Amino acid sequence: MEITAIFQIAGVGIIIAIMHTVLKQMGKEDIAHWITLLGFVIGIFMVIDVIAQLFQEIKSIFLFQ
Amino acid sequence: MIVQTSVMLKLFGAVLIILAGTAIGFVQAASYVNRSKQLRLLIYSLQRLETEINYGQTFLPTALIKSSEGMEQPLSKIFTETAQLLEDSKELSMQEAWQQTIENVWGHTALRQREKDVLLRMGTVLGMSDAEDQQKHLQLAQLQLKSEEEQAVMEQQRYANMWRSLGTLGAILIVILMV
Repeated sequence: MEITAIFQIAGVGIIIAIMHTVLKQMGKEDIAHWITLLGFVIGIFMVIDVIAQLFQEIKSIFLFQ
Repeated sequence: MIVQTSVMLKLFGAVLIILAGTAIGFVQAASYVNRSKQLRLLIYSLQRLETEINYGQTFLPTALIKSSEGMEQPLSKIFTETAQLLEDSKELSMQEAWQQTIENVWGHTALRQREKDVLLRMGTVLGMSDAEDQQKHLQLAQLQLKSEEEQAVMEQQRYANMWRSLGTLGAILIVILMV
């Protein structure tokens, strides 16, 4: 389950990187940056559950809940 | 066995999405290629129309049909349909017929608003004044279209390849997100 997510994020990263390079070569830097930001947001959404879990763990360890 | 068929189905869907994305990219790229090609053909036909008006002193509908010869379907319609309209109805002026035809045909071509404005402005003069004046306006239109064509060729070189790769890449991204 977790391994798949890691590979998925790696795939998104590669594709977004290629898109960024293509757009930059064609002189569309602004769109390239937006695409990169979009890729970042997609990555965050993929791990949002895991991050929430992590915060819960930290809370339960340090705040004794 | 059931697991295997579902994997096959997923693979099939992924291939379909990638093919569709690639096709979208190629269609977008083709619109750039078509635009510069159609602009070039349009300039040729305007040159022929100029010759017909200036040296042949041809009747305008005939001149329009002659200058559309050798052109492909969406563009040649601008000329042939105008000629048809002019011959069919007696109360329509050249300008009205020209405008009406361009509005009809424009959606089928790869051309943009600026070329449309150039052609519409030219249409107000066609058949309204003497040959010399019409020639001047035709030459002006050709000049404007030529600068558009140069720009279109530049855009084609830059963006056609970009769209081709972006289509495929976008499709692969969607597939990865859905796995």
